[in-house]
Amino acid sequence: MNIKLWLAGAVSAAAVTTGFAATAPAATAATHPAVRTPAAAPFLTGQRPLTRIPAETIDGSAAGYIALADKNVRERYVAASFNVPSLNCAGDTDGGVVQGAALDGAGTPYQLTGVVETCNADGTYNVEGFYQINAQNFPPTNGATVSAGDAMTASVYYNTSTKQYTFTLADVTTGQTIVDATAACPSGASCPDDSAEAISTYTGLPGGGTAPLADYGMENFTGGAVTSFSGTKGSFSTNKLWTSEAVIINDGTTLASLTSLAGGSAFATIWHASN
Amino acid sequence: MNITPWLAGAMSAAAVMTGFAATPVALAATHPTAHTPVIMPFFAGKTPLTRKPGTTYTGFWGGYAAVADKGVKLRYAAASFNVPSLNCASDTSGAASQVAAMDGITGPAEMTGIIEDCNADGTFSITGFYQLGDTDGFSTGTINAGDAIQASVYDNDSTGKYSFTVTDVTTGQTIVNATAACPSGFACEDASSEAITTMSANSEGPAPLADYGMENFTGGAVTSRNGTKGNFGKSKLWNPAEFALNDGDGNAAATSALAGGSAFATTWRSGS
Repeated sequence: MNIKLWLAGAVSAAAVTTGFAATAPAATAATHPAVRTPAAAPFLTGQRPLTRIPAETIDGSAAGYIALADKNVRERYVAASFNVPSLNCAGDTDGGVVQGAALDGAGTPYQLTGVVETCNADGTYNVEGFYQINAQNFPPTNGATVSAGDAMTASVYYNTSTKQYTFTLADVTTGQTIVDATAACPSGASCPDDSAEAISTYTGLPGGGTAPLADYGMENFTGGAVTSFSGTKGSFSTNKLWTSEAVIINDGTTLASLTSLAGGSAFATIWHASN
Repeated sequence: MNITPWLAGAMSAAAVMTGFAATPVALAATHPTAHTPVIMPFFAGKTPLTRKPGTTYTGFWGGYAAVADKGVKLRYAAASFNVPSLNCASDTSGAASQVAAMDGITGPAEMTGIIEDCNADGTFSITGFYQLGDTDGFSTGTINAGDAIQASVYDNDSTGKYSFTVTDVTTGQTIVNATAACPSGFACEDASSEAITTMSANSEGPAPLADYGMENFTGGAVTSRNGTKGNFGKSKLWNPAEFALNDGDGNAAATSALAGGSAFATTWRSGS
């Protein structure tokens, strides 16, 4: 069963991602060199606390799996591994796509890190690491180059002592740390830590809205891991503290679908269409 | 249980991989790259294989196998992955392959996937291939790092031929679409199905395992001759086994736990 929750809202939320913070956290840049930015697109917005939706596939603005925390449960860690997919920009040079791991995002803006890929007018594309909190994006400034095919491990960790999120993106192939940054939940923002996910998702446009979903073929995620505030370790499978939710990109047309969840920790998202 | 039966023999076997067969449809007759995947049957001629739960085979392959029970034959193996980039900065002689295969444990392996070779200038080349004994073929089209690949081997019991298919999901191209019969003099037992990262070889022996970082496999699928579908996890007809990639100087790659029977990662450790 598919349920459509909030696609129109997702587009609106994405529009706010084009404003960048005036002051960047350490090791990150204040301006984003890419045309596209990761879209912030919660698909269960306003529905607090989030409730278990067993055996459902949610139509949303991302394709992936979510560990949706039960009432009064909070999650502090999420991780996933993937190879940076190449893009086929021949059919649409306006496209972009994000691959990453995130906390929140189901009901509020993401704490997200991963790679953003943007098609160029000449059919080539750019790949960059980034992290995002409260709909603000930060690329790395360490000069690290990320290439298609590179093996990535992405994680977001909330340190309950320091009240800071740590965003880590490692390029296993080159041995570089692409993103290593910390940030607190911005004043006035809600960071409920009530979901953890690994996703393929839209990018936002500078003028608002979302860019076409670039043809990334298929993305293979493994190593999905989730930890609760209480220290319970698991994956995207349902357990006593959270439930597994599948989300696909579907606005009437399925743009990206999912394979089944293997062992709670691995799956693939599959591109179908740009718009 | 760890088994390291045949490391020296693997080098010898690799040396025979340089002979190329007649050209299959859409594939080249000569190999444009320096290396070919290593074939390394661990228990050549020792069939039927017996269940050894928890078995790890140590050799030139990293990944997982479904090992058929006595009296069971398999007919299909498949897996999906994104073509990994290579870091050839420290060793321009390396190579690596990502593969779906059958009969890798008993040989001759029926295998298909991609081969990646480091070039002298630090770049690398990517080629699709299939291989069955001395019969092989290599793609001529462009494959890019990051492309999403689906690879499969299917034994068609009606035609008596194996079908090798490699699809580039990103570009929509069929990279490999070939058939081949079991070579004369070989049994082709259909005793196992595999998804693996493997070392490659040329006439001088195995090449260093190129730094591919990590490969994420999903969609592992296995079908028996009688139509029972599954994956690399335990079933009533087959048992899983792990491959640990060791180049003789140590663990060249690590194999993760098997997730849900169908997904895992191999992570490069060294290319010595």
